[in-house]
Amino acid sequence: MPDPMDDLDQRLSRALHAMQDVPPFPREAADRIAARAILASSPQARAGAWTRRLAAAVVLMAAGAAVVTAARRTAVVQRSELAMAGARAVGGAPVLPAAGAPLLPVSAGGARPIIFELDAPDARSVQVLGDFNHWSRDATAMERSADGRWRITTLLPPGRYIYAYLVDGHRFERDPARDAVEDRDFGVTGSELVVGEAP
Amino acid sequence: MPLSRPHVTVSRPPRTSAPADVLALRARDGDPGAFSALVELMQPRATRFALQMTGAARDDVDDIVQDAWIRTHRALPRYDASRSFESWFFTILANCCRSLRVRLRRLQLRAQPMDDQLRDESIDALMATTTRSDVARVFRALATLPAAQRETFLLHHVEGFSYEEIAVISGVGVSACKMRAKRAMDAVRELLREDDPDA
Repeated sequence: MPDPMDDLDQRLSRALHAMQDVPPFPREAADRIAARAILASSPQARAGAWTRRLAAAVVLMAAGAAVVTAARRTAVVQRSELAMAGARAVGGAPVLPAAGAPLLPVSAGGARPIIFELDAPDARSVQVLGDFNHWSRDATAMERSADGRWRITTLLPPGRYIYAYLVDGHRFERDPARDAVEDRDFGVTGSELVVGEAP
Repeated sequence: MPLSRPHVTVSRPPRTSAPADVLALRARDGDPGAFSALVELMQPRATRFALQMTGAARDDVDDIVQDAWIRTHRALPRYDASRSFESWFFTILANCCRSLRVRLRRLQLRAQPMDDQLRDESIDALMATTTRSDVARVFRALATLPAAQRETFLLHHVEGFSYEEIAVISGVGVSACKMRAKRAMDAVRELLREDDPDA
């Protein structure tokens, strides 16, 4: 007659083996969790109220500069749109993406060209992450220009997007020229970008 | 039938700390892709451990694990490469689980009973097993154990940590870990025997 304790031990062993099994975890979900963690542990997220107070003061002091920056940013987008339409930008060469320049992989249905640009001359790497690429680390590397600005061109369909820059792989920065908004789907805070319908 | 006979021999899961350690070093040096790969590697085990440790609802468990990743990323610059990343991460995760238990006690909230969890599809997805009823009995048995014993049991028999590693994770001596594991195993076997419909 079999020993019931042996049977119990075998069943317990099998149960523990079963408890050790885990399925693989989806990479996209891992990217989202990692992005939240990186964003939440960034100095900006931790500085809390002090940062917000300080930022308010800085914003007041730098209001003039911000206006200039925003104007330049708008000009870049407009030049890009003109370039993609085959026209020449006002006062300069077409801003067509250079051959081999990285393009974010997004749907091109009715999309408009958008240039993301960040002035970070001391950065070693800059990526742009947003809901348009599921805050993924893939295909988001920006290229450094000689003037120290980091750029990437992408096609985005009309809509509202939230994005942030990842500098040197660990520091999230919102676009200083745009309002901070929360991406509820991904639980992160970034900057808002609205892409309108083509004229 | 005596219950003090030699206990169940469970082959602990193979350790895969080498890839995690390499990824952790790359993440420490600012590679966000490596950090995301760490999440991808560890998330299923982290979720399983937090579920079984806290008995909390799935949403709360996801929050616990996310919090653990935030703390991990924040502490990465201090990661000591002489220690395995898995044991370092589980130290942080176990602390998060303890914090939730304290918080639930303070709010006088009851965690979701283990039986309810077993009906949860998300738990089913975590378990590739043909011995689900025995796993359910082990869950029920674990739920009755003191948290310290449950933690030691899970870390040793499910997550595959040595007693020396558990001593560091739990902040107690190696002897205490062995005693906790023995008491936990005795209790689980006893409860399984009592709960056995064929007994």
